[in-house]
Amino acid sequence: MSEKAYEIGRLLRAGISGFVAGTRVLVQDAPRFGALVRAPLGEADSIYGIIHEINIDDDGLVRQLVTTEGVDASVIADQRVNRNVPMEMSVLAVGYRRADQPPRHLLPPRAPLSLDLIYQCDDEEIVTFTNVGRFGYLRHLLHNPDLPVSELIAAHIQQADAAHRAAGDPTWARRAAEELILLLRDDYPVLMQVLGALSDAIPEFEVAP
Amino acid sequence: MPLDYLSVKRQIQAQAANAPEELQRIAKLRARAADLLTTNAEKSAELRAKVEQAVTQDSFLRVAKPVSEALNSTHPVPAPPESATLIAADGSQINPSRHDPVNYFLVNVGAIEMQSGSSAAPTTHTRSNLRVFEYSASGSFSEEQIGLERDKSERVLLAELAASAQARPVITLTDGPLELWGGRARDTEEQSHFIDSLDEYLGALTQLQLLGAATAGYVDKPRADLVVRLMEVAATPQESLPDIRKQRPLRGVTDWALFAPLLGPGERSAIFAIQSQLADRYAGPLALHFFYLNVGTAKAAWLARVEIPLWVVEDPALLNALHGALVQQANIMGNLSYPYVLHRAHELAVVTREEREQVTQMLVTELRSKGVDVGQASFKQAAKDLPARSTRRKS
Repeated sequence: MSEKAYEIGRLLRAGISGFVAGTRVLVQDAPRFGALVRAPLGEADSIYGIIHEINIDDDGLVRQLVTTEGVDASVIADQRVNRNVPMEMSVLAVGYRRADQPPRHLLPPRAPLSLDLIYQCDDEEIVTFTNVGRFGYLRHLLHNPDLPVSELIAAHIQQADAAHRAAGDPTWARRAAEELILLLRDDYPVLMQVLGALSDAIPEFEVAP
Repeated sequence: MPLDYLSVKRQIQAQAANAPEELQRIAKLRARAADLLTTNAEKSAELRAKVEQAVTQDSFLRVAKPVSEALNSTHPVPAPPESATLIAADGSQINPSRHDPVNYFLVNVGAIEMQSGSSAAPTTHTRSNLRVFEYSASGSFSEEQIGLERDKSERVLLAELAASAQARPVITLTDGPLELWGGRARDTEEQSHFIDSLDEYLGALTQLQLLGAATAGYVDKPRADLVVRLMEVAATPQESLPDIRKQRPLRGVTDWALFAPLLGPGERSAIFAIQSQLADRYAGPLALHFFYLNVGTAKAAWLARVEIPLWVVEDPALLNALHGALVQQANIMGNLSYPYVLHRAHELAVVTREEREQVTQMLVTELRSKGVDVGQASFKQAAKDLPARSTRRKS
């Protein structure tokens, strides 16, 4: 599936290691768990991150409506389109890029600013970002104990693999898996979880343990 | 300092001790009112004449006037219209405060337009009207005057939106009575302001009438005794009518108590006209009427008073569409039976304390940038705004 870059929301709050973006709750163009996204860093630079959590908060009216039978379609549309209850996406920062330079898999020097537009990266950006160096950005995912590491890596590699295959490279996912095995060689339980999740995400992809 | 809870508790206990006796007294009065409603159910013309006679003695008399339906009649909920446009508006305001650095007020009106029978998201509208450095003859505008602006703006916005509505019938709603409130002016300028606002308000009502739209004021949990007062008029001997103001044998009984046992789920009561001091200003098709509506369940009635103009009363199709749509809207909210569109209009209109502070700050900043010395908040307000006590954290 080919991905095009598009706006997915605006920044609510941010730090160096990640940020949270908000958007209206719409089915179409909904951002996905594991997707690579981009936030502006000044005029020409960008911060890259991976969506690791998506929250939809409730409020009193929503709680009241779920207790009723057969909620009207226009009421549902009103809640999703008009009411100021955003879907929140938590993003882990995994790199940044200065204008006219290749991306770096390091934490960004500054945080993005409130209400900055957040974009889901298109296939070309995904390929460019994930091809730089030796998968350095994966360490940000692996070394964060608060993340669902195996599920997040599997979702990300599944999406990135599709972008690489669309660009004519069917070997990227295997190289990513080999790098993961190297990075997790001293943590067998996590390694097995990651490889198990990868097998579920990419059935035709047989990972050698 | 908190309340003197010990003292408050003693007072609560004293009041509660009398409650059973008071409830028994009210129950007897309610039974008497219900009897009067039954015995006078078919005497609409006679009662109407009696009310008109009483009004000649007391022009302040606020009472229900029978129209044509039997007074104790009930009317089942019709099917809601298959397609209709529902528009609800509500208003909120920032009142002027002498403690603020700048004298200003703001009226905010929110509206929502929903197509019943459609899955499309409703459209929403917000109108914010800021007024700075405006004074009445008595100083700052009173809360009542600003409330008047708000109520008028709601109806004007409804008329504007109804004009461009696609699906028919068009049903427009506000929360609260249809009658514009604010006749008790402090001075002639306030009186003149009220008359001007009322004229605009009546103009908006006329526009809605010409569009063929229904309009209604929805009073949730009404506490009025308009029909009970009618029963008092009915029970008053002819020779005592000149003294009608003092004839209050059913004082304490509300219309709710009278109609809650009568109305099944979704049912409405008979329609009554409203006799009030300002009712004459709502002439011809604008004449004020109302009915009670049970939006509750078989086990627990929940009443609303729905105020409507005469043109809606005289159009059975429009009246039924309004009745059906209100019950449908109330059902959306489950056990909190209140029309969904009205709740959403309230959400759109309400001005929070934080928003008020932001508007004040924006205004002060802009005025200062123009070289205006805007002063500062009163010391009293500044002291109130000091941070509340908090636990000191050890680092």
